[in-house]
Amino acid sequence: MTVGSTLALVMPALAVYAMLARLWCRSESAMTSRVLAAALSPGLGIGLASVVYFVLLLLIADHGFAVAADAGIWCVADVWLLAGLLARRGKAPERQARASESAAPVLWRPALGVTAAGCLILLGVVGVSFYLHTAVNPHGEWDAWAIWNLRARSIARGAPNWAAVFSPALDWSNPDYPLLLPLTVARLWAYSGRESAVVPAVVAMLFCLSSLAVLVVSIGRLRGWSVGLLSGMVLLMARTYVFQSACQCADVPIGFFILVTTCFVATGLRAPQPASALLIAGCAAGLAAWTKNEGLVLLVWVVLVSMVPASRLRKLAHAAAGAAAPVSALTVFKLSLAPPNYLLGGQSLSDILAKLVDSSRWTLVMDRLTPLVPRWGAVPGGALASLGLAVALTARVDRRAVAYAGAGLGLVLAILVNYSLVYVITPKPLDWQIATSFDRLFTQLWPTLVWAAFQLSGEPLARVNM
Amino acid sequence: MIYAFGRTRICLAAASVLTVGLFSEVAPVRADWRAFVAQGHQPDLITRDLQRYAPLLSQLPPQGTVGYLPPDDWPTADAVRRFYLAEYALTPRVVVIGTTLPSVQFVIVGPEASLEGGGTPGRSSPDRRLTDFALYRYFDNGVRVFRRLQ
Repeated sequence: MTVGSTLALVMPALAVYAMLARLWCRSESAMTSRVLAAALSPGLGIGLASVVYFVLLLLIADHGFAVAADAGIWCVADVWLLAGLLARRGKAPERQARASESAAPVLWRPALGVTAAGCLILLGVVGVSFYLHTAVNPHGEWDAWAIWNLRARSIARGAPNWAAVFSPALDWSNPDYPLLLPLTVARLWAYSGRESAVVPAVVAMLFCLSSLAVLVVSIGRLRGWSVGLLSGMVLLMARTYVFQSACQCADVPIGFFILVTTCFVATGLRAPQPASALLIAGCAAGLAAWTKNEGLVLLVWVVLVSMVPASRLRKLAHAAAGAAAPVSALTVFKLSLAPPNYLLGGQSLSDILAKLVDSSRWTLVMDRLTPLVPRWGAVPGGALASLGLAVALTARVDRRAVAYAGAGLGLVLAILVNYSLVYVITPKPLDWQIATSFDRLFTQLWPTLVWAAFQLSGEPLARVNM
Repeated sequence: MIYAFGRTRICLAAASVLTVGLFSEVAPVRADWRAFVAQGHQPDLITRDLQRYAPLLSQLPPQGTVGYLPPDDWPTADAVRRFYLAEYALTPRVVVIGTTLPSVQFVIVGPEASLEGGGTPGRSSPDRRLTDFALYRYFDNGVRVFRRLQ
């Protein structure tokens, strides 16, 4: 990583942090809100920066000028947002004092020490595993270099010649896949001036760590820090999740956005002032769709959930405002640049309908998936069993916790149904499709599943006011 | 009292998760370590395969469609990997299998593809798949580039 590529990562993250801190300044935000903002900012920053860079490449059509304009935009955003944040803090010392008083003190106790030590040990092992895997496979696993890093190289070398970047002749590399990850890597390469294999690995690690941080903080602030750290341990316990993180594919990044969306939709629907939470949820859902096609299901889910009774249009407007930028970029990409997706382009509508009403195909998919779900994780007994044990040991159920957990589990279930649907209509050999994709697809859901399950454990649910 | 909630149970849960996590990481980390040590200062498989296409970067036009003659072992995983890596190395050129597309002016022939009669610079190849092409460049690593005859 060069100074340039580091700056390219830091500038958007700083802007997102300042923006979140400004949003949450309006309410009695505590220290945990700022920590949560810090956990969210790298992932959301990367996502929004990829949208800005895409627009600049479309408008300017030259990497050199696009980088200069990009740096200018993020510098101005950083200065403006940080200045506004500092001015706001200066004007409201009494609110700050009240906020710091309202923040619950984190008391040191044995359970906290044990979970903190456990989390650090697992983090250390994951770090070693990640380093070794990256050293042995610097270009990532097959899908990483054949799809994501290939697209990043194509953009870095080929844009604005988009016809070559998204040529239908490259259908084996799925050129219709959305661009968050390739654009992020291409942008960092453009800043550093060379195509370093370290960049995709750093981006992959960043999304893994951001997912861990968001999970620990979002659970910790609601259910207690011991349980928050325990949830982080459970996330890292799953070997498949760690492996997929080091693969440099887009599954861990989209998993991060699914987690953020779920977390903030659940918060927003119950908070007295839901605007900022739904704005973040909408933004994360939009970025999920900008990461992988599967993210479109998340967008639909956010729209449906935002429309639950009581001021539904306003809630929907907040979520839509958050999703506007990534969804606009996705629309431009899909309508003007991307070739057809293999699911829809590779077969006729009547073929798809015939598969959908073919009960034997549904039975086959269910037969294949049913044993895979409990075995997922590459850990003894399966990751779900360990998650269930950890939650059962620390369970403390209340009505609101059940609602939170229900929201998360409902989303996981909805996405699983969508994956099953894709398997049913796939034009490719079904066994091959499931064998090569199921581990990755479930990886996308793992952080959200852990988040939802841990809503049922720990201390009584604290009242959240963001 | 809140802080005392389930202290033992949280510790028990943490211990079980840590045990499972460490147990599941041991074998893969050991395997990666072995591969890491065995690799030493040598480049990995993908980098090695990419290096074979490095000399082509200066010999091919910066953009356009380039043909790729499938090797004899096509479509084994190794052969497919080398074809995909040709695209990875040579992008934004679009590398396609075959030689028949009119837009293909250059064809890459890897050392794994056997040719009838090899090739002579400036003369049509005796291989029926390359009848409109002549040998353009031959590299030390066995990779050949044929160019369409005008």
